Amino acid sequence: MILIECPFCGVRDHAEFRYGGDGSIHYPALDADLEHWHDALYLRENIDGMQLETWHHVFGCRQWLLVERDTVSHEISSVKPANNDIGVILDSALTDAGGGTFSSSVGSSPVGSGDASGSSHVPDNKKE
Amino acid sequence: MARYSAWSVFKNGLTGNRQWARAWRDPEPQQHYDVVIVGGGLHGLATAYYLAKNHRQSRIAVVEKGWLGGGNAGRNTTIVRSNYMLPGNREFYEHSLKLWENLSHDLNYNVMFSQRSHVTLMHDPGEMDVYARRYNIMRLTGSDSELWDLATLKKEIPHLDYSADARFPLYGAAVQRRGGSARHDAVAWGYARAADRLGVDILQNCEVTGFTRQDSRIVSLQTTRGTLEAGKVGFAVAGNTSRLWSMAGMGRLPIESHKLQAFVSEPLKPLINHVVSFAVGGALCYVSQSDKGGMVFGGDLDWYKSYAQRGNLPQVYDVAEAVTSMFPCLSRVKLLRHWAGVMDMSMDGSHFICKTPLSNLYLNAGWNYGGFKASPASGWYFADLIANDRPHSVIENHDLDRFRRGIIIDERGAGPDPKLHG
Repeated sequence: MILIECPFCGVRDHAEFRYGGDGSIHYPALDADLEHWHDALYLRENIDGMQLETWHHVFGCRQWLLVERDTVSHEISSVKPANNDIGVILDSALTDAGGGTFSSSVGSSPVGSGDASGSSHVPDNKKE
Repeated sequence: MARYSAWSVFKNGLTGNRQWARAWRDPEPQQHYDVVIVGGGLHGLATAYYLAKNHRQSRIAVVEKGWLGGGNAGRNTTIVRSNYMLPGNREFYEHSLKLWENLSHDLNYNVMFSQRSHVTLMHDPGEMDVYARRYNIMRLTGSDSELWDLATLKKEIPHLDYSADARFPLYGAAVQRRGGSARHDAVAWGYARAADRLGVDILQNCEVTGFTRQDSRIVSLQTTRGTLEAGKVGFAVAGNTSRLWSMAGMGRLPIESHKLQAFVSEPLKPLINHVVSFAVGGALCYVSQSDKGGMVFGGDLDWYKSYAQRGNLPQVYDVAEAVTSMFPCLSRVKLLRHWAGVMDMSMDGSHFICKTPLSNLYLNAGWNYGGFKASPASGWYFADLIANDRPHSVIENHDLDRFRRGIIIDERGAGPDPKLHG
């Protein structure tokens, strides 16, 4: 079992997640020429080693994550939200609800509370 | 080396089986070969055999980093079928099945090919309609197929869950009688021995560590057993294709490496006399019984990209659930072994047998879940490509450039996501 340290939910089994794919792909503009779209859709580096990839925490917070994982040893070196602004968005939601801030715990370095509540809400122990 | 025959079995039996010659040589690498095939799996060995047999090529080497049949040849569920529908695939897999039917005689080696029927279970009328179309196309293009109603299915395979509260109620089956199974090791050894008899050098424990290029040609390969000069080079390395590709100094490929698990149970008395395949929504399994009695089965990928030849537990659960929902009688059978192979999953689920940007390099890759059954035709067409330096009409669209031309050979209709193809 691969353990993924979700920045929102803590350490969870990979069975809670759905694998997205290669996270290094940059999709071109909609009106970009065919060659760019061909390359983005069909060509892969297929790295044997540390790779940037996307995972979706389907049975957790439902956030998309960017994970750096070794495709040979399966070791994970970093996990961060795929949407950089998600911390800010959650902060404002928490402020509206009279809570604290969230962004300090959501960054490039993962935090792991090990909280296993399975709730899609922000766990209480993440509030400062 | 002597031919195998009833007489040779009898004669060697009389002398206590001490006089058998080794099945193939263990030669020292030569300095120069006309053709070097990288990868001593089923596809590489078959390619070398057909190069020597059909095209009278000489000075051929197969280089293998481990031992023969130690990669995906020994990490599959040995299913043979040709129930593909799309142009190109249809002719290719039917040709492969025909080669299977005569393979033991052709190789003078018993590959234990058993045409015990490939049965795809159906669960509703809509599914039956889809398969009627696919299986009628098979009949119209020279293959065999049948559709079974529930009564026939019950008679043929009585152990499935036909109860009123079955998790996946059955409706019928789509069947290819000529499909079946073969002994994977025997296929590797049979091709190796037959190729060796035609003069092919099989170099085991010979890992490629680098290439020397001159413009758009590969002039030599560095290996752990010395440098080999090569006139032509063929890659047949399945999940390791991207590794070799970048070692040869080239860019990206429409391939991702994923791992696929398979399983074998403790031996049982004869229970299932077919290859049974089940797929509903996200659940998939395929089951057959080996000659030793073990239930051999597999399911889907582990769902994340990997070069590790080891499986993960959630998929063991998923596949076991699928198998026991179809065959409740197997629920208390113990697993004996499970293993994982690294699959070269392509962007449309179909393979590549093609020329490459380098003028003397040829590629054989992209076999997804289905490399075992393909191996005879894969070797046949790859040898034809290497010998004649042009693709046969059957594989003319199985090249790396097809997506650019808008040709997607996607049997499943899953789109450009390699993990979704099977």
